Amino acid sequence: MARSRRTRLGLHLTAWAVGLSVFRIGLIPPQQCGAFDEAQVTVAIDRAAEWATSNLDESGRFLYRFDRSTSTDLGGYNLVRHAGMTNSLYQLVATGEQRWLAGADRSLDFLFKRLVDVGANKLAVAESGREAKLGTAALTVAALVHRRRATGDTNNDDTARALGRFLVGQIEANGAPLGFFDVRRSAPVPGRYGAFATGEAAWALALLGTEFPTEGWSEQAGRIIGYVANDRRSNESYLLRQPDHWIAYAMAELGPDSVNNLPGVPDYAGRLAGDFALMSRVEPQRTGTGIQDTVRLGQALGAGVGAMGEGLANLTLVADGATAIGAGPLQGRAEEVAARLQCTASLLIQRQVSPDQVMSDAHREVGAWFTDDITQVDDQQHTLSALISTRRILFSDDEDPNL
Amino acid sequence: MTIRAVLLVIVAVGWWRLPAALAAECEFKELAPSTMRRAGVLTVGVAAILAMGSGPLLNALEVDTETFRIATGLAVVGLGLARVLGWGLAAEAPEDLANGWVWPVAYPVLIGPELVVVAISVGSDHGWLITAASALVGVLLASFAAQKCQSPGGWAPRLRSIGVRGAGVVLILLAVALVFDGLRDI
Repeated sequence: MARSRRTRLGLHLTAWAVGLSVFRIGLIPPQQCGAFDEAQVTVAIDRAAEWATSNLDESGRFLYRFDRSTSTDLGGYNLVRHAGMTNSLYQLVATGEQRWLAGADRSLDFLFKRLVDVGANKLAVAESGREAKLGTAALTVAALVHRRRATGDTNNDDTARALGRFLVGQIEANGAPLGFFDVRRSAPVPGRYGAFATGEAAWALALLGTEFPTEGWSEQAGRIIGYVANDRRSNESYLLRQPDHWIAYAMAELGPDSVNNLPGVPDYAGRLAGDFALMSRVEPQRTGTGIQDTVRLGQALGAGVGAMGEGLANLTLVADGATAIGAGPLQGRAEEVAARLQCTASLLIQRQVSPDQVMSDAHREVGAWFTDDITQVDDQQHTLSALISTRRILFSDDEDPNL
Repeated sequence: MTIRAVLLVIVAVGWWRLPAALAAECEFKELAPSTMRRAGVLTVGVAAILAMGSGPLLNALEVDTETFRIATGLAVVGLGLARVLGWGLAAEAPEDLANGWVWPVAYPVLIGPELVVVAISVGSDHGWLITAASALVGVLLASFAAQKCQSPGGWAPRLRSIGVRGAGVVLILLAVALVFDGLRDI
């Protein structure tokens, strides 16, 4: 009997060892959230901005996609991402760092050369003969607003308004903005929506609403936000809720009083924060090496982690606003959201290429985020914007939500 | 969320295993009350210690409370499924039960992997007091289950099976709710 008990005990101990190992490796590997200070964030921001501006060509076009293992410019281009990177640079300039203005202006000129008059005092942005995308116009608006805030220059206000009218013209009766415009037919393309363009448009309109508060832009932004909060998932057949950092931007820009008055939106903001928080818990567990590379697959793209950071940063501001007015699921929870932001930002800082990690070309590697040795301009766009917001939220006394 | 956590601890204590574990015992002689008392104290003590140590443990593991909550839920879903499939139905040998307040009554009957992970998770979320109090309720249910074993016409084998498998279903339901709590939390 004693022998049988010993055997059984041995089996139990083995089962515990195996079970705990599976539990640890499969479900609770360490979350590698590191600490960082303001200086480290600033270095990361400067390196990302340097990567973007020093790799601009003469036409104002960014280095779009680069493979460091072969030191090859992989070509291709996406105007929406160009506009996004331009906006990120202006967000940085708007914090007082004027040295990036010249590069940002060059990339803005690239967009200006692609403005298209689509009638009815509306402007869109498109390559010649191509469809105009909602997202390109939206992020161009964002860039113009941030430039305005950075420089005080109002010379582009009419352009911004004309782009804004284009955005409004794309909005359907239910608040859903169509994602594309057929320039040749001079009409929106029916039935096609942009996964991210919807939120981009909402943010752009919210930004215009802040700059021109009597012109009705904020109300249009509210229509889109309400659509996203209540109807988009079913209307556009999404199985899961989109982790939409652009809508987070829009809600932060619109302000707590407006957000609180939009039916369903405060609850949506709470759920969105939960979505981003979950993502920010999983990503730090991805080491990209060893058994974790198999169990949890590879690390997310820099653009993905950066977008996560942007979402969390803006939801921190939304939570601050909810606390200030004492309403909504996010009231009193800004610190928790900011803690998730801190973890996410630590990943961005850790994973950025530093001078001692260069493989072949320091000029095109330092300051960038690579996945499988490839970087794309939006990796730097999203991470730069995320780190700018992180620095402001975690290290600044500035309480003004508008950059 | 707190009520669900309490229920989860109560069900994580393996009182529902006792009728099956005592099946052979019931046919021969009464389980000593002191055996149940000691096993119960040990069970509550283990739950309390795990709950109290949850903070330092999670820090050492570099895992936050919300992540551990989701992991606990997923683990308990798996364990619950194993119970539904019949894991834990085997009867303990009467000679082992005679003085076996540590083995096998406390462990592995009352203290199983469910209670270990649940005590840590609930302790991290709600504190050791709620965890220990909930475990005490589970232990009281264990005493009741042990007494019922001796009643004439007591637990038939079918009811023992339903007890274990039914507890598995309840564990799965509570664990799924725990997972969703973790997924939604900030």
